[in-house]
Amino acid sequence: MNISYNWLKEYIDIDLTPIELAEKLTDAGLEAVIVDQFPEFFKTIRVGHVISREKHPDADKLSVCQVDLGDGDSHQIICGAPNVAAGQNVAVATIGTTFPEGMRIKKAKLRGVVSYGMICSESELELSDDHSGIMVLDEAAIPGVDMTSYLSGNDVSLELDLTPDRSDALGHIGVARDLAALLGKTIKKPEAVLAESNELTADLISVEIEDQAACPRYAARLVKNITISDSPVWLQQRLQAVGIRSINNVVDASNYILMETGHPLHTFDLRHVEGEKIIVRMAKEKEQITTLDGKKRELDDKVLLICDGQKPVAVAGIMGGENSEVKDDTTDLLLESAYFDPVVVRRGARKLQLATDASHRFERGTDPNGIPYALDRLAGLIVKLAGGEITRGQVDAYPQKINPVKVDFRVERCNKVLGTMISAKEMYSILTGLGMDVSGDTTFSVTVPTFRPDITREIDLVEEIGRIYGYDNIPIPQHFSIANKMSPVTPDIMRERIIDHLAATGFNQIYGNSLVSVDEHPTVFGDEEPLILANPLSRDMASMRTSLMVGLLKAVEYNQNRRQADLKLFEVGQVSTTDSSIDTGARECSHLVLFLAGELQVKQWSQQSVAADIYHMKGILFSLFNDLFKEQISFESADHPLLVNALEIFLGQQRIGVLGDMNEKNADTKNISGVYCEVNLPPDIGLKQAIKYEKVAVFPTVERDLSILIDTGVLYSDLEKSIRNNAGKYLVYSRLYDIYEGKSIASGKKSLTFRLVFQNQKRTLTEKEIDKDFKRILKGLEGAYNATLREAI
Amino acid sequence: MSLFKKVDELRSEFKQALASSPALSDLELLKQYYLGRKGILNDLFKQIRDIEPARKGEFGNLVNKLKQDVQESIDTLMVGQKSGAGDSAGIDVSLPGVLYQRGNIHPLEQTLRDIKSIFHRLGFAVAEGPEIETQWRNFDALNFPPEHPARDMQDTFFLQNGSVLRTHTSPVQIRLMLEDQPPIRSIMPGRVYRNEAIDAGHYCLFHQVEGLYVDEHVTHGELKATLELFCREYFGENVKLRFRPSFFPFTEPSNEVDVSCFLCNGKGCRVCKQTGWLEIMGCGMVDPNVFSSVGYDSEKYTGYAFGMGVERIAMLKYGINDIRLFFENDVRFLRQF
Repeated sequence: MNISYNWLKEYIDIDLTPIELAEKLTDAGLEAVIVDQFPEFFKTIRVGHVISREKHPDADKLSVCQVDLGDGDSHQIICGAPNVAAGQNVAVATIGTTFPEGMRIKKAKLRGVVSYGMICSESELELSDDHSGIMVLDEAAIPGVDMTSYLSGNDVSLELDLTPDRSDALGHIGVARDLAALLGKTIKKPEAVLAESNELTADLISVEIEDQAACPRYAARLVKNITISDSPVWLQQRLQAVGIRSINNVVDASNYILMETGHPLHTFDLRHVEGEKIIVRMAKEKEQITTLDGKKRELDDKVLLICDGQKPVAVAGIMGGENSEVKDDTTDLLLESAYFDPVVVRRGARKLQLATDASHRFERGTDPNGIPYALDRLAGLIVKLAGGEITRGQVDAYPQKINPVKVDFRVERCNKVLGTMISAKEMYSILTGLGMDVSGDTTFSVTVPTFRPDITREIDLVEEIGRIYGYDNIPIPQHFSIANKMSPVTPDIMRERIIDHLAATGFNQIYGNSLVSVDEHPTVFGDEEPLILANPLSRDMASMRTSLMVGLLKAVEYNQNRRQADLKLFEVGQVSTTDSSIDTGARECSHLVLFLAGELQVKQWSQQSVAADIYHMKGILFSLFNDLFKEQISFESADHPLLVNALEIFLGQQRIGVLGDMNEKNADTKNISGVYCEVNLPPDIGLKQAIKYEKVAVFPTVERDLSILIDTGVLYSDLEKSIRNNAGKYLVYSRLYDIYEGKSIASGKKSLTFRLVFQNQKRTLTEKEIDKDFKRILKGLEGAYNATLREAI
Repeated sequence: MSLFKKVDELRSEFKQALASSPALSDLELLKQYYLGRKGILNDLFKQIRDIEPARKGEFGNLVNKLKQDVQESIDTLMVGQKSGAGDSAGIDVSLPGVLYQRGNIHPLEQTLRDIKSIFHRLGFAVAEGPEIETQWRNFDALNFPPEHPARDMQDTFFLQNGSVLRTHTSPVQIRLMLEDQPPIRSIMPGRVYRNEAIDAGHYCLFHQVEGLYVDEHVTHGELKATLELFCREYFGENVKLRFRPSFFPFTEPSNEVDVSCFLCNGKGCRVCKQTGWLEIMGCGMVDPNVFSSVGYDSEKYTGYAFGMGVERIAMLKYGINDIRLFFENDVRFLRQF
């Protein structure tokens, strides 16, 4: 909501500048910034007084004008408009003005005569489409004043960003009330004194409320024999400053009182209110009304209607009906000032998908006891602007009075919550300053006026004390206690260790979007059922990711399209799947995705390049789980719908992940090639690790290399297992040292070389002992896999 | 000048010459200058005739000692230089080091860790919760009444099953308080979602860090003190804080916290929109209605809560002006952190 600086000053005496005012309001919780009502270029457009106009010597359609710009000089300006005349006040674009489309005003010669500026039309100033002639300004305008000041009447607009609890500040009087409490002043509320005719309003109209819960109060007045016309300049300027377009005197008056009191009002053309009555009732299912904006709207039984004896004439608290709209020939008016239930208006506005200045206020709660005042203010202003007579009295249907809330407030409790030592006296003056009735000394009984529906509890009053006292004035304690309780180690620490490890290994951490298309759920692990959004932003973000693949592929594609071919990426993130046994309907777990593509190691002067493959991925996982977390993982080859050379990753018996090559021929994986791995991180990963020290053996290790020839189809894992099983107790480990297939070997055969490392914890091993183990290993390989010894070193 | 003094001067001059670590060729020259047949020391020696007879012996010894020292120093250095040259023959030590490419931790993760580590030091635990939440935990339990305009403050993604993508990390507060009794002192980091059109300033998801402290005697003053410690630690010793009244359903009183703009020191710049202040987080005292939804006695306990956006803080810290960069995952962006 915008407010006007000048307008506000009608209700409170302040000597703050607009900037100081914005700061003060912001400090009080009414966040305010100064806004520009008019474009920047208006600052160099000035009011000019045409002293004389003569015909251009060499051009029929041009005039040479001498213009007073308020600086004591006379400025020569050439003008092509037919309506320019001596004695006018006009808008002059002075030298240096740059129009939005880029045109810049310079000293220029037109047919041999010099011109020092341009006299503008309304269309050039983007104020209207009128380009038939120059814009003629008010006679009283002062030459030299810039257009922004001229049009705003030297006003400044402030935009208030109000929190939804502060419905009381949705009008100038409400803002002034808060300022008064802050500054220790009182507000000047304008009086509503009316001259009424002898005709009784109650004889002419009746109000019937069918649903009193939805409409606790409805008051009406009639004004007869008015004349619709344009509003005076002062009113237009007021509305302009708060961003409301001027329509006519009656509509403007109703908007003016809205912005003054914060209370929404409505005016009906009385000739279209049939049956001399107003009925407030719920709409029927599928009942229709055409609203002021010309749209036909279908309603349901949750929308509240204002009807006459025959038909609906307005949607209560949201928008009037087209059928009873005030028009240029309207003479008699019915004025409405009512209180509608916030929830009813909110539901209706949502049903109609319509948010108006009125619904905004009703939803947040208006003051049911401010209704007669707003109604009288409106009637008085209309008569002032449009003439006519006000009939005697309001028709006020208010079956059950809404009384102010009484709240008990303990001074000590307030200080306890805030951590302050504010005196009861100071609290008393803060609360009374906000318009509350206060009695008592250490425990107050506070009567909260109905214009503050947000205050119903003691804690709400504590906030008012804090707000007005100033949070910045609350002292900061030198000491404070912390909880005497140790917190458990949480999975985030383990995730941090994973991230650290992978970053140190050369991976870049990515953050993928959790929202993916419903069609984008690659079967990484199986058939997880995604959670579907009811109100997605777009089709491609309509469900929650079930794996991290989609985000990863997007990142890979993005980078590869930008010639970044060597990629080592990972993400740790949440995925979800449908699970009706959980109250959210979703089971979430933490996943890790890893991706390798291109060269792992670029070629350097001393090193060859190394291309990424699945063996690197296996090694990375091994270092992560076995070395970092001391958890034993193993791999088993498996078929996978999206990956080739796929392996499943096991932690004990539990399958925790998959890895494999992505194939550039596979459209399901966006034709990306690289090595992919995704792991479902067990929540307790690494949390139970307990490292037990083992004595470091002092006796030397002995190395033997074993080189065998074997059929190409034999798996390494089988050979390794055989070596381990046959080795006896001295083998510490075997390491695959070399693989060779090629010319010097029979076709269908490959050569594998293992480095075997032996050690005895208690003494130095003898050659004989090692020979014995070595032979047993070889025999095992020969027997089971038809291996032949190639060479023993 | 006495000749004795001249000897002293020559000694210190020589020391200075060596201090500039002369190269081998320089050493040759030095040797000639001091020790050569026509060298300066021989020259000095010849002047012994000008010394009074009683001190001739003393002078002779002094010059000889200097000669000896010079000889020794130069020889040692020459041997060192020659052997060094021999060892490094054929090796260009200026060749570049072998590249070990380190990876990178995402800037949001780094920012989150910086935040977490400060609160760890202030005695806060870390708690987490799911991204998909019930409406009760995300709204009702946090004192967002149904059909209240406060629900419009956060544009919500609803799931077809009636749950929501959490709009803030505050439902973790509810989980924590339902599981445990005070004192509770935790921060709650996590991913949250908002149904907002995506542009440079908005993304459909972002990350929050929320804090909660519930105990007897927790005050607003303590909240201020805690956040002031945090902000000084994170943004710099000289930042000032401003607590503005605001509104959140789950806190009462509620505040918006501004820090003085650390980019322009509060003078006003583009980033702080000329105000000199940066809005950094929201906070307040836990609303009694929240305590009643988790069964806490709001007379006995008070508490504070605060929350901040990780993206916002990372953008300010690194000078990033488009939130989408965090989720594009351009490695040329990521490698800068």
